[in-house]
Amino acid sequence: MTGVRMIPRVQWHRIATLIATALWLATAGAAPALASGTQSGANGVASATVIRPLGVIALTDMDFGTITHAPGAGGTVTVSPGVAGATFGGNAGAVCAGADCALPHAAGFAVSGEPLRNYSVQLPATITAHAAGGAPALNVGTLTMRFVSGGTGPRLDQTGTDHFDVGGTITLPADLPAARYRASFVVVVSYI
Amino acid sequence: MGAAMAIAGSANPAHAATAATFTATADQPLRFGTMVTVGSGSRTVGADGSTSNNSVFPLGDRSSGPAQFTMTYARASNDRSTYQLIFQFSLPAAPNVSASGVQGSLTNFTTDLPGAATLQPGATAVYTLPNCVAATCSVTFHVGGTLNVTRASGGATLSFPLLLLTTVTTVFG
Repeated sequence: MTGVRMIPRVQWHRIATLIATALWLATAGAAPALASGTQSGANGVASATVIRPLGVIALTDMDFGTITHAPGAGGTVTVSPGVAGATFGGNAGAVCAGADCALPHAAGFAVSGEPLRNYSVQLPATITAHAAGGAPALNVGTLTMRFVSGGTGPRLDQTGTDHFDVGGTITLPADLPAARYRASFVVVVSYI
Repeated sequence: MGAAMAIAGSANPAHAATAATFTATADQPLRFGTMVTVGSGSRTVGADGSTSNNSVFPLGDRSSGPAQFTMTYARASNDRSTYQLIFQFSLPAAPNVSASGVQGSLTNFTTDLPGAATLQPGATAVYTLPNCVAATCSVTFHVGGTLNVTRASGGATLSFPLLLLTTVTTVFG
């Protein structure tokens, strides 16, 4: 007897399998098994629309002409968009003759910006006109607008332009002293 | 993953296994909306949808929003392992765009993924999704950025390619 123990072949096979399994588990526990990286891509888009700034220029001033009223009584003078001349209420009237009577007119503004864009116009509720020499201030109210673009709302045309007029009514109190009145008002245009 | 799949495959040879797949999809574009600028300026849309402007004036914020991407890992049909998914992703620099007198560029990408709040163009970010046990595991995230615009004349719609490059690595979890 040599003292060597013989192991059946089938048991050697089982031991080899166990050793292999143990090695795999040890490897998995010590350092996680990594798969090779898998790549992919996605085609997204970023977009923006940049449009031209909106601009407005005063082309013509609102002009009520030279007016007067009867002693002891006031009146009103109205200039309307798109209409030459003025209309009078109360005891106010024009001091003019012939073609000069068509000179009063509404204010005119030109708008420019991005073609085919809608915009809005903000006007003050009333305008206060002042005169030198202590004459009382006068109110211009009932401001009205007329747009060349017309339709349901102001809109820039294919070239990015439009035009609008602003009319209003000035109220003359009784016994108003003679004076030359001036006023300025702010017009704000905005894209909508 | 390869070893695990081989063992599982040999256990059930009667069914054909489908391979694991990984896809990235662009769900929503990055939208800066419509804006006005006199000369130049910038507009930032955050990954959370917030906006800020510098010398540009937006026409409403309703049309703005971050991009949305989804990265999806679908395991092999016979794979029952639990994984960590390690996503590496980058957004290459988008080319400058010029149209009708308007020039634009994109910078300063941001995301809403933890650990990847900012993402410079071309830089790689990593996001780990633990415990992926479902048949498909995905992560959806948003990307914001800053648009720099210079307007010499006119107006234009600018469109930038926004390419997401991503790699997933699976780790036994």
